[in-house]
This record gives sequence, structure tokens and C-alpha cells, in this order.
Amino acid sequence: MRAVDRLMALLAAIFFLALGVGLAWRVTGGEPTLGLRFLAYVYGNPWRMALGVLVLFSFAAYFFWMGFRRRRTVKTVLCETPLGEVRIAERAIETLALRAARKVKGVHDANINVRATPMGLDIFVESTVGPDQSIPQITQDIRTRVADYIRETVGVSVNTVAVLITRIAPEHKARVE
Amino acid sequence: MEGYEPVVRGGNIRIANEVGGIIAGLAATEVEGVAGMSGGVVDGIAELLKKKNLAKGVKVEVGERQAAVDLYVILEYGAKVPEVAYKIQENVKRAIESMTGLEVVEVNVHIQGVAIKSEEAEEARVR
Repeated sequence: MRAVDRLMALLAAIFFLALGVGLAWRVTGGEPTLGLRFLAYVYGNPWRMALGVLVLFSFAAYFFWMGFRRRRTVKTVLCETPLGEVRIAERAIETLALRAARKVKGVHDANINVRATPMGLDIFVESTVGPDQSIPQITQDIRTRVADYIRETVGVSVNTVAVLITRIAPEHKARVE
Repeated sequence: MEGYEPVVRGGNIRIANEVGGIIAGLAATEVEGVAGMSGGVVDGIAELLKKKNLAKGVKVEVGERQAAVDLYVILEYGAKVPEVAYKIQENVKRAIESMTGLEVVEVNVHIQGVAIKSEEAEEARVR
């Protein structure tokens, strides 16, 4: 459960608890309490009422959205073994490909996107490289390194590795050798 | 409580699904290369469960004589996925079969993510 979901659930629980306690108090013959006096205070001014309506509608809209939202499905790559299936999340392959791409000399950062196709994996690499690098050489190195590493560690065939150099990082002078 | 209830002389033995889940979770995390069980995916990032929540990353379906297991795991960076996945399947099958007597018909491994160890993540700044 996300933090915002917890917060909304907590606020809703406090609201309904207060409402329940107030009603129980009245049912058992208690005098009008703070809650009822607060309602009368809100009811006495159109702006306060509008604010109250807004808060209640926001709550209602949030819980409607909670009720109807779909769970995010995890895209996976399937491998069959004699003992059952092995499904590897595309995000897991992206993490591995990212580490492989970053190990190529001259690559400063990379962003990976993996798509599973019937022919194998299509891997898209967006990379930031250092200055004074041969772009054709570095793209070839990224392609080879990522494809080999994924084949070796995941055991799934790689169809294409597309490399896009998006940025040349500014030169960084090393402070130490 | 769902589970398998074999009839034996002198009484019944009832094996709860949760027990199968814990056995499978423990057997899976014993395998080298497994960082832990996954509690699901939140905002696209797989949640690594603590050791005490082992059964949460496991779904076990127990029949009268057979069981099927689904495991949601996070692997360590550097592990060879097919090898580790096969070891998980073997270890889980062996553990459940030896401890419960049920026949494990399939062990499906769902690799939800790859964890990078802290020392790996914080590579040395100088050599």
C-alpha cells in the first residue's frame, strides 16, 4: 500500500469513527456534542459548506478511483523448464542490461527499454557518453556487451540492440589517478 | 484454512497452504543468487521482502496428493538466471516433497527484479 493510500484510509477511518461515536452519543441520550456544533458552524456559511462539499467529493472520488483502478501488470519473458515455468520481468532484464551498458568504457549513463518479441528481445539503449569518444565504436561496444551479457545471464536470445546516443557528457577532470 | 488432509491410521494430518508457502520460501532463499522473495510490484519496482515474510512471495496450491508452487523472487546481480531458476525449482520441489509427502507437479519461478548489493552499487571511487 502506498503512503497516500495509507493516509487516505487513516483519514477516512478517523472521519467514520468520529461520526459513529457522535451518533452513538446522541442515540444514548447525550447532549449535542462538539461534532454536531461543528456541523452547525459549517452549515451556517455557504463558503464553509462549499469547502465541506469539496472535501467530501474529493474523498468520494479518491475511493471510487481506488475501487476501479487496475493493478499494474508485470510484463515478463517466459522460459519453460521440465519443472515448470520461469518468468523474468522485463524490468529485471532492464536492470541487467543497464549494468552491462554502463560497464562499456566511455558510457556515463544509460536508459534501457526492453520488449519481448517472438524472435527474441528488442533492447533499446539511450546513452550519455563522454567527450572525445568514437560514436560508431562506442555504439558497437554497447551492442555487443549488452547482447552478450543478456544471452549469457538470462539465457534468452537477443533480437536487436538499438543504441541512441542522446547526450555528450561534459568533460570531468579526475582529481585522482 | 485450506490445505491437504491425508487420512492415516490414528488420525488426520492437516498441512496448511501457509506451511507449504514457508517451506518453499525457505528453500528458495537458500539458493545462492537469490536476494529474497518479492512482495509484488509497487510503481514498477519490485519490493524485496524481509526474511520473516517468506511465505508472502509464494503461492502454493495444495490438492489431495499434489502441490503446485508459484514463487516471486528477486535475484542478486551477477547471478545466471536460468541456472538459479532451475536450482530454485529443484530445491523447492525436493523440500516440499521430503517434508510433506506431496508430489510437486510444477514450480513456477517469477523473477520480479534484480538487486544490486550495496558494495556493488557503491563502486570504489578511486583505485
